[in-house]
Amino acid sequence: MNKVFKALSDPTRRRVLQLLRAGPMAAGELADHFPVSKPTMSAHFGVLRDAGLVEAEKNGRTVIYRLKMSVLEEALMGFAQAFGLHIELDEATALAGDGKDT
Amino acid sequence: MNKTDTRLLRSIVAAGLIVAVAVALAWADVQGPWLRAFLVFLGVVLMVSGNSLPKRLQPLSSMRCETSREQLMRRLTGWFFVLAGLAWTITWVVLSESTAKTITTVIMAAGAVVITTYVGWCMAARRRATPPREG
Repeated sequence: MNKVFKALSDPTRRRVLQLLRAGPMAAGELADHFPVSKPTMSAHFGVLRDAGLVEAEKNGRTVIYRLKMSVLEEALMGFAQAFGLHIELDEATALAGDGKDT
Repeated sequence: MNKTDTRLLRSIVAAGLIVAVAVALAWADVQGPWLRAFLVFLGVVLMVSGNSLPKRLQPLSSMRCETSREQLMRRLTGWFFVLAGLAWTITWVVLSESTAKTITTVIMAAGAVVITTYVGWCMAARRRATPPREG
């Protein structure tokens, strides 16, 4: 459960999970939504995979990510968003404006 | 026996046990606290299985319908099971037997309608995605 809390504590990772709610996406397609370097994104994906919140599946040379969250984990994410996301997202936007990685 | 077979066998045994206990309770005409306890347990089973439902993924290549719809169907069904299980459990803990029976029948009927609708919606996307046959 610690891994799940760690994964949900970061706004970038929560945003990845939000994007995956719409359906499975390629790693590159997901990374395009964030102003961070590819190694940073890979690290975020690794944390989410370790926590069991996403599943990666290879399709040729592309890695497809999809949501693997239980109802409880999704509810936890909802709480995390409701009680902290807005402020952290603003910070993330500010950092993106400065061209820094989160 | 691979992982999927083991999981399937475990699920069949668990479902068989639930049915067997339900038949035994009906046959013995059990009423009162034992019946309530069993039905509360069923509500908890519904919640637990609903909670893990969105995590049981199939490989993308073996999906029977469009992947984003399949994911949404799995998530919404999971939420429905959890909330229905919660309502079921509270109903059998708090309300009188006759009222609880009516409410749980409504929950079961609603569940059947919701799940059938989602599966139909999901399969419809697959049919539209399938190109028309020539000739």
